[in-house]
Amino acid sequence: MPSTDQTTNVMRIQRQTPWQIQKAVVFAVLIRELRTRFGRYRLGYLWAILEPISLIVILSAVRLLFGENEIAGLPFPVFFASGITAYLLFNHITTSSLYAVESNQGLFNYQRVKPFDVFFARALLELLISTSTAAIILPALYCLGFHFTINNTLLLIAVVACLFSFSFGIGLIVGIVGPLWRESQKIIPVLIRPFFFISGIFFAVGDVPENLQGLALVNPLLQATELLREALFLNYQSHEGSLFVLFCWALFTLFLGLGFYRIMGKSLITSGKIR
Amino acid sequence: MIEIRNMTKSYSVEGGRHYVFRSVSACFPEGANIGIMGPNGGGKSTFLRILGGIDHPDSGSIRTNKTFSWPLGLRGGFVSHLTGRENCKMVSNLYGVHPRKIRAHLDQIKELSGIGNYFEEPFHTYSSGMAGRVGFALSMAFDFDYFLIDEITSVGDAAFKRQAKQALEDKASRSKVIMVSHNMADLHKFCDIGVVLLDGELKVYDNLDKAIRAYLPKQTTDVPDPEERQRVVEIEALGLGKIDIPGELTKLTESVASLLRSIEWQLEQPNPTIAGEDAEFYADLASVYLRLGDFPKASEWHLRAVQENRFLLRSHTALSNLSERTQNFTDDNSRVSAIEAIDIKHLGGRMARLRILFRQGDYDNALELLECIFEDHPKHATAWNFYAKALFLLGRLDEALQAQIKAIQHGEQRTQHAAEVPGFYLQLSQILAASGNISTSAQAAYKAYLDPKQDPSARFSDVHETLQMLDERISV
Repeated sequence: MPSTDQTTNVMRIQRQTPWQIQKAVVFAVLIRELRTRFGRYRLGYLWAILEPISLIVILSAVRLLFGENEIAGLPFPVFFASGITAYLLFNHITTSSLYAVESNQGLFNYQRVKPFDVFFARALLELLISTSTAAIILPALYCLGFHFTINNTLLLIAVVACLFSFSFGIGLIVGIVGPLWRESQKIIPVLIRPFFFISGIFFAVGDVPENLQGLALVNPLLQATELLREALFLNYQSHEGSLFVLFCWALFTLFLGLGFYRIMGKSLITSGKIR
Repeated sequence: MIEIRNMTKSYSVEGGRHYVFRSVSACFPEGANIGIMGPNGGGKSTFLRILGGIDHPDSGSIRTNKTFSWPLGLRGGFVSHLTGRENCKMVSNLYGVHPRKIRAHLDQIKELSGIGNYFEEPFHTYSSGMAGRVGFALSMAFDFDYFLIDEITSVGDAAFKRQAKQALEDKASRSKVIMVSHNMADLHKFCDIGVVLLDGELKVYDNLDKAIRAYLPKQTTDVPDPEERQRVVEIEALGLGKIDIPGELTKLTESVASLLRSIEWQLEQPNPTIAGEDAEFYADLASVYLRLGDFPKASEWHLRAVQENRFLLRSHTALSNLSERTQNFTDDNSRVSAIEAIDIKHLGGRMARLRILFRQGDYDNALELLECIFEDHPKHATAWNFYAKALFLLGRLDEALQAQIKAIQHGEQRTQHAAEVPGFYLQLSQILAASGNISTSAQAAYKAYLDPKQDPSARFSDVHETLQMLDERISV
């Protein structure tokens, strides 16, 4: 009688605490995102690291033409690597949030999955990818002879946390606006692109003309790259970034994003709202 | 308990809003399987999604402490380039299956889905039937309080549907279904109570048939005549698709046969002693044979009963009823007269007289007699069946159809008529065929063929009990 003890293995839907559910859901979505992102191609994982490397190589090649080999006391591949990591983290979190709801529509068939989980899982995945690529690229550069000394680990953690919160806050906003107002999905990437040029990927704040420095430092991403380099490298010569400003930005956007989600999040999974 | 309060749900359409629900309130009783019916675009699927917590009303609320599955029948919940196993693993992760149990859990889903090693293949290689099977098996691996089913027909073929019904029945003590379907037969199979979604309203009926009767007249607008429409509805409400396959009977029938052999053997011994009246004993034995379908033996024992006690009305009636089956009409009239001599109003006697009138082809007198019977027994299903038959034979098809439906309705309400109900359906099928309604006629015939109330195991356990009792009364 094979059918009789089929019921013994049945999973009782337990009353789990909200925290347990949240953990289980984010974990499940994260694993799924990981598989959809990288599972499809054989070079999937490699691509995650090729993107920053190719940017470093191109930028380094351009710099070589100018004949310099140091920016603000740092060998330039190391300088670019840190800037690009910070920028890509922000860029990937915001752009992947933009389509997070649509590409995970099927998941919302499961009552436990809410749009927030999808946004958070995507952001978390980007954080994991960025930190692990940085953890590969920077030591690799060190081995290639571009020497640097780590300065302040605590500051590093604080900066990464602030940058993550800032990006996640923006990601929440664009992720909610995107599906509700489809045109924005074309506009927002265009708005994000200029940050590549003004966020200190290939310049230090010290290189900016004095009268423009104040204006440039309004950009929280520039603050983040400055602080990141300050935390990472002992001999970085520019110390213009302010953790307090970055922290305020992070708090502000996170608050805004969560507030936005609180008001509009439900309509993402309400039929008749999304066109 | 599911309580809906002032729920409003609308969609924007060109030139305004389309209201699916307009501030509806309702309360679903505990522990019932719920069938939801309504026209296309009537909000059935939306309602399921709202219950399942994956869609939201514009205003109002749903209060419940139950857990709901995701709506089954949707393919959307799976990622196409992941394998069946990976997909199921993801959902199991979502619902917090312990990592140590997950392998056994997934193997069990694989077994229940019955798709074998396709389980390890990417989802986009699946046919829609296979996808449905995996979705169903996956949800069955969890104990939700309610399973939400959106058109079970989308979940697979007939064999799988049977399997699905079995799986749901195994869970019936803990889990119920809420089901959307256009197919009344499917609703009949799974549901106890009905919910009708129509014109922005939601109505709960405590009985599925009532819901169908309330819903169908508004849907059968292609039938112009209102009386005719009512008939269509009543025929539909009989649930002609409610068909079950009988279970295994061998064990019961064996013990019935051995008991019967033992009783016969004891009766053949010289001077058996019987506790109680001999005539009653023989009549009981005869009725056992009647139930088993052995008519010659049944009349033999009834005759013996009458010989013992010539006032035994029960056996007289049975004999005149049996005369048709055994083609032995001798003494029929005198037997009926004997009954009437004892009690002119005796129902059995009147029914026996009726059979004689039918045999003689005197349908007009039969109708008259039947109307007298209805005065005393307005809900006598067998009488209504005869009434329909007489009308049918006289060519009055519309009246016959109505009478036949009454026969079935009354017959289904009383368990004592259960055995006759398939015969009623068969006659319904004939009447429908004669009035040109071939497809419904076929359904009725099929229903008669596999009537769920004609449960052979129940019949045999009945017989078994009687035989045991008889066996105890006799000793050699």
